[in-house]
Amino acid sequence: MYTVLGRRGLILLNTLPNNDQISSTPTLEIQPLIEVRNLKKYFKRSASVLEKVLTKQKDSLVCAVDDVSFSIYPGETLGLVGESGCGKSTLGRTILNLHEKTDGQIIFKGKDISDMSNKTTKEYRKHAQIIFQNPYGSLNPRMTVFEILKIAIECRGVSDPYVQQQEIFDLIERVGLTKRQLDQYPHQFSGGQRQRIGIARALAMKPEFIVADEPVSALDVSVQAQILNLMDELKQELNLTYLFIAHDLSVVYHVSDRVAVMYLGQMVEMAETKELFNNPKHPYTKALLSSIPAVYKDEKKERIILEGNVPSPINQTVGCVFKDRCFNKKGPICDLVRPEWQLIDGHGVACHLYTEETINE
Amino acid sequence: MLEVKNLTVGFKKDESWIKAVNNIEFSVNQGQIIGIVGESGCGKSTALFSILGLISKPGEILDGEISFGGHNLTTKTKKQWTKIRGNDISMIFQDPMSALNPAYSVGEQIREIIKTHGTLNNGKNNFFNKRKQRQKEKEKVIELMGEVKIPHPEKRYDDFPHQFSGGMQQRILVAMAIANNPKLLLADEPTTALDVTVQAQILELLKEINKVHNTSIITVTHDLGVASEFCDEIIVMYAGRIVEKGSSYDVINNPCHPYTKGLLNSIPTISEEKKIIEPIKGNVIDLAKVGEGCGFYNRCPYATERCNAPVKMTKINENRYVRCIQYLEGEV
Amino acid sequence: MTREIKIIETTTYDSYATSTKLQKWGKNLKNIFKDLKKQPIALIGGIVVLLYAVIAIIGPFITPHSGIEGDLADRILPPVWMEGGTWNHILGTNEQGVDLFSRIIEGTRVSIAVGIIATTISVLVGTSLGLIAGYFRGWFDTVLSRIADLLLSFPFLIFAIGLMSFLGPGFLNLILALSFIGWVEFFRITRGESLSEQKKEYVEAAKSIGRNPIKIMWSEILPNIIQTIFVLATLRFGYMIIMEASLSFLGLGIQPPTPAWGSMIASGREYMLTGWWLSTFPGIFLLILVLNINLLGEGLRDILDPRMKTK
Repeated sequence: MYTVLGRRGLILLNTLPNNDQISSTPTLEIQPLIEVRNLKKYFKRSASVLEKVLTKQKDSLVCAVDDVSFSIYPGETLGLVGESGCGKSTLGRTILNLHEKTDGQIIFKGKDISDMSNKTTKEYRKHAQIIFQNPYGSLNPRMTVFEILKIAIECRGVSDPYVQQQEIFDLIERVGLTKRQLDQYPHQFSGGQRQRIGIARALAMKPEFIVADEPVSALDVSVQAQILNLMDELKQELNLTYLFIAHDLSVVYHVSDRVAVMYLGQMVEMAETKELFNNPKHPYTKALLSSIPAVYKDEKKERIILEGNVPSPINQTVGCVFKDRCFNKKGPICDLVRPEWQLIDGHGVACHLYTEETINE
Repeated sequence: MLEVKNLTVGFKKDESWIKAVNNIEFSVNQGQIIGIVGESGCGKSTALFSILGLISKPGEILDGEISFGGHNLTTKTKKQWTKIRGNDISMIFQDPMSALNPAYSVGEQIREIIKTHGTLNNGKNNFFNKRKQRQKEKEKVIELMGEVKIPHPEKRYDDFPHQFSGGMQQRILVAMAIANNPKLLLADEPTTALDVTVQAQILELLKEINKVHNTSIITVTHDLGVASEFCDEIIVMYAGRIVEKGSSYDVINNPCHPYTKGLLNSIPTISEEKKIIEPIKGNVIDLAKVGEGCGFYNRCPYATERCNAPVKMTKINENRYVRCIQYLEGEV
Repeated sequence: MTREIKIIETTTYDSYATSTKLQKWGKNLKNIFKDLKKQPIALIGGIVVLLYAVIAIIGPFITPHSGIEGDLADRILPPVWMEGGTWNHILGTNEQGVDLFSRIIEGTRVSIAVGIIATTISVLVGTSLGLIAGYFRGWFDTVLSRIADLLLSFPFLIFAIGLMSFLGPGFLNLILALSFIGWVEFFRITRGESLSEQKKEYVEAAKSIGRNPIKIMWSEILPNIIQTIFVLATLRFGYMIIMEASLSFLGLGIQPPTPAWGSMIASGREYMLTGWWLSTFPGIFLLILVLNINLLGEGLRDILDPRMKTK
């Protein structure tokens, strides 16, 4: 269905707001591959007995992902950006059930898998996989590449060693390495090559959806290009859907169809890539985009320097998450009420500057 | 102000020397910001460390001289270095959390630099007025912390490094670096470990320091955006050699060396038309196998037989240099 | 031509899949031996320990006399190089006329057996509990860690004495007592190492492809920490032997007439002036064994640990 409608179909899809009332009557028949509703992931940091007695410290709650709702459509790359501590990695892992979610719904291909029972999770793993950030830590140093891939294929259910072997050969060549390298250990490869092995392992499960958690951040600039091109080829060939988590905005601009911006566990803006970069609505997005150092001077914009630091996500924030650093505050409402998600021509934003009343004013 | 001539730094491996830095030459004027750009393994960090004499076994400066204020830094003894480091030349490191001592308060760490070099008492140790001396130094520290825009410096003097965020810690490192008003500030990838908004803050801060105190800055970075915006001049290094040198605008917009061209083509940028990024084919050559010819030979799309011979730096314009055989014979 | 090459390729990988494990272990051992040769002290340690092991196995069959029965007429004969000594009894005889040399050799068997069995039980119990506690955490981990703390707060020897007095002397009881406290160290180390390994992404990757926890513990975490455990086990081996000797010395371990170095040293005390060799030679044999075990263990640590990082 997606291929028939093409890109334009995707743009029209953005007009679908992502809350309960309206998504039950879609205007188009394209079902999102993954739908996340009111997802929450809180980590409990319990103070020890001594701390409670001596310093009256209470148990604190780290709200890593605080009520996030969005959808990812088949065949697209959704970029997820934000700074450290914003919860994007946690969000990616929670969607895959690598972290158990605290609350919310996850709907995969129309089926509600929020219960995440062992059976559901096992089946889910064959459809959704992850590529890790750190090529140096994500491979078991005591296993050869062959063994690493063999285990993944076995987990998918293939037990015949000859079939396994053939699949491993296919995989390794598809990611750009040779058969000769199959019996080498991870430490004998460069960072870029290790990342290719990581991609091969994710592909071994034959997934439709891949969460790429900062896949190129730890790599050299020229190697980044190789891996990004590889991921693009694989996406076209295997019809993959990516959730591309990164902090490098130029990379996100290059690979994503749509981009979502997170701050302190909440999603503050989401739009089509070009639209977001040319026309950012949320103050944080504006500041973020303006602080990218531009390679070519003609891209240079006026820089907005944010005061202060990224606050910690301990204990839920009252009001807007960006209230302490916002340079465009509307008023006291920003300190009291969490802004609702607004859709303006397919461009979603959570900011009081864009609430209905403001627009009507 | 600083002139590096024919600098070669090697690491000993199995009876032979691997030249991490191979015969580089550049100069820095007072008040300039220079960026050394390259990928991992190109020798940029080694070059930077050698300016401060921080190369230790199995590395050694094999050849060349670094002239600073009339002295040759390659021949300094340990004792002589203690007077220079932190005083005339200082350094900011990549990871602020590990560069700060977690056991001492930040105020004390900044004060240590002032105390060591005796900046406030002209080098004379006044035994009888230690308390007054300490008070003066403390005030200077608070002044410095204010200069690097740490809010409420008086209150934060006694705080420990872990109580600060990454950006704040980097500011403390900057404060330590400028404490004695150095002529030259070296920065080893100062913003790589920081978020992009914090990176912008730190770069603004460094720019201000450069303007106000006329401090020269040499920064090592792999981020071409940072190099383009922050630096006046860019030096591109590959496999231990300088392959291109020039003003940042020139190098970015009119790259001459095939490596620089390849690098610029392989990075995604935010522009109107969708860019097709082209990775540089092949891998970085093993430093042990680099001969005297061009280190980029195995990956260069314009490579010819002649590239195996040593290539000299060609001067294209005033302050614009390339090391490539194409430019030697005017084949631009 | 191309066809031939293809066939060769597939056959190499045919057997590849099945014989990898063996090949790997074989390669590992070869490398270890190569490195051992570079460290002469560890090599000497290894050779001596091996010698002792051989003696333990075949010794009792080649001793000149019995290690248990002796002729009272020949009691407290001095070693051969002293006045009154004979070649019949090279190291002399003890107070019951038993040939000392034979008795020492028979005692080797006991000591090494105790060392190996007690260490093995400690390793197995401690490591498995440590892995489970480290992986699952929760109340299991808390309870076990507190038990471990409790056991560690007693000095090993005192605790062992208490246990042996409670259980009574004998070979099996001795092993039980030594293992009862010995597992704690391996538990601690395994738990610590497994906790730090778990933070690494390859464990998360294993979870993401859906491996079950036992497989993860066994084939992802364990191979990466086995080096440390192995080295510690080698060193503990020597310690267990000393413990056995100490307990036997105090009369709580192996009882005479079963030969054990500790009890030999104990019973020789009374005769220190007249027959100093009764205590001394068992002591020397004990010293040499434990010393060489430690040398071997230290050498192995140097070989295995940095190798793991550069491997």
